[in-house]
Amino acid sequence: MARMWDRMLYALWGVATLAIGIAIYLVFLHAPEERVMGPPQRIFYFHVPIAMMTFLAVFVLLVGSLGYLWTRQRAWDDLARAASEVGLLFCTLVLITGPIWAKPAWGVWWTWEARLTTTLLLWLLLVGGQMVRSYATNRDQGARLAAVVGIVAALDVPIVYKAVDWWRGQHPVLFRPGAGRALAPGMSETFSFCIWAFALLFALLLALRFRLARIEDRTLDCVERLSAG
Amino acid sequence: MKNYAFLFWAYTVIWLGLAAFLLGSLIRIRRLGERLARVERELARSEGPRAD
Repeated sequence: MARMWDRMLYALWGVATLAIGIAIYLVFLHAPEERVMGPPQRIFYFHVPIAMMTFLAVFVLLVGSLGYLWTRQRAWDDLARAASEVGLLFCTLVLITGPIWAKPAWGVWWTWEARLTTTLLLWLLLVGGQMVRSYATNRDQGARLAAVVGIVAALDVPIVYKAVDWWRGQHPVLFRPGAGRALAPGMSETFSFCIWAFALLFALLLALRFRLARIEDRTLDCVERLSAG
Repeated sequence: MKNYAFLFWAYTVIWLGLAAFLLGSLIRIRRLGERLARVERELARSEGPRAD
């Protein structure tokens, strides 16, 4: 079973690396330059898919958290832990690449705009999930508290998505119902490919982190049995 | 030229972040795997051979 898992991980690693390589080629050599913003617009091809993967990670975190609270099985908590760590990584990258794009576009690194603020809140909740897990007195308590924080983080995702509409934020909106094609040909294919490439990368990182959580659990189980016996 | 600097830093941060996370995960998996094997050996020794 472990060997099959290893083979699948290696295969996923190969496909993800290839996809990211193609994505870089498309971003820098295929997609046309945007006339108003120029080169910094190319940040968008990675920034937006990373933001989408953050949402996906929080969705997996929600599933894992609910699964753990429902069944109290350790595997669900391991899934939630893996998703929370990958989500925190992606959310951090979103919060760093966003301001790097904002400086040439808006003239400021940061503004307390609705989507930016709610994304920062999401990041704080993901950090909070890690903290409650570390500071809990035992594994079960940590898992339970982290699951609750994970569910609260998931509630923030629709707010991040709709923040621009609800509070008339200045963050660009790519997908709006009823709106026409937002991207020029060349940009559109590149963007779609980047989403798939980052989805593969997300799957790889999640699988690695899930495996790490499983090994950690087994090790702690053994240590507890050793100290008890 | 200054505009390319923003692009450069954005992509540098992304790759450094992803590489650090990936590498950190692999190192932790290897170290924990070794620790698990050690602890399992100790456990087998302390529990002794099973009756079955």
